[in-house]
Amino acid sequence: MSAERSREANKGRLFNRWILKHGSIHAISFPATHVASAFAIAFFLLHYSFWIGTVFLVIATLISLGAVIGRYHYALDVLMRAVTAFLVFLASYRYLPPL
Amino acid sequence: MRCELPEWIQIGCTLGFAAASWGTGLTSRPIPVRRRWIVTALAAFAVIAIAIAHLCAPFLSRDSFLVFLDLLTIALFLIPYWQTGQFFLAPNPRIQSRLEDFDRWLLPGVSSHSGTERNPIGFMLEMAYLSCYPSGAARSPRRLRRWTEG
Repeated sequence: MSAERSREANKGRLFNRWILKHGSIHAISFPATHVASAFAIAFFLLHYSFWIGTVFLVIATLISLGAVIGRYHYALDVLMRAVTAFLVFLASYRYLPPL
Repeated sequence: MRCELPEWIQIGCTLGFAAASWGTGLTSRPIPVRRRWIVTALAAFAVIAIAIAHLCAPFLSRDSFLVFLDLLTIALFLIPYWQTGQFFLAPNPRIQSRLEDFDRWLLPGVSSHSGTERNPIGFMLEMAYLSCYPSGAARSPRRLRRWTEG
């Protein structure tokens, strides 16, 4: 990120860009791992606790918005991963250990 | 203590990617040998980490060990991600163009910007994107089970 763009970016964005610079594979944007993991865990937690699962569902939605508005992912990456996470949850529902 | 399903999935995925990396040598678009060794080393790291974790089982209670395994799985979550990155050769301009067209149609106001603004909403969205990392550690289903059981 150029010096001029760094001054225009908020601190959160600078930190996210730093993490991506050192930890990202700098390649594909699909799948949107942030979104997939967030929604997958939110759905599973909903199975065990409605309130905790709802909190994580809200977090997952905010992560999705951050991913698209921050231009870390295309909108289709995010939508497809949220749907994939839900389908995986449905497929594995009966294998979930009882509470 | 035997491996649980998440550990077997972790081991299977990482070893599968390692095998696939060497398998590209039989195709028309092989990935460089250096990248194949990186994929293999990541797989070996994941398997060794899980094996070492199981060696710790005698020193922990069953519940604590299962929560520890949950956290280990989360920590090893990045291994397949880094492995798949080694398979990337070049972007597909046609697919990129279609994705951008979809964004322009769905979110015309967002796609024209290069990122979040320097304001409280922009900061909140960036923090939301960042929250994926620490919230991962809190997602241990076995830890949740301990909480809900009291």
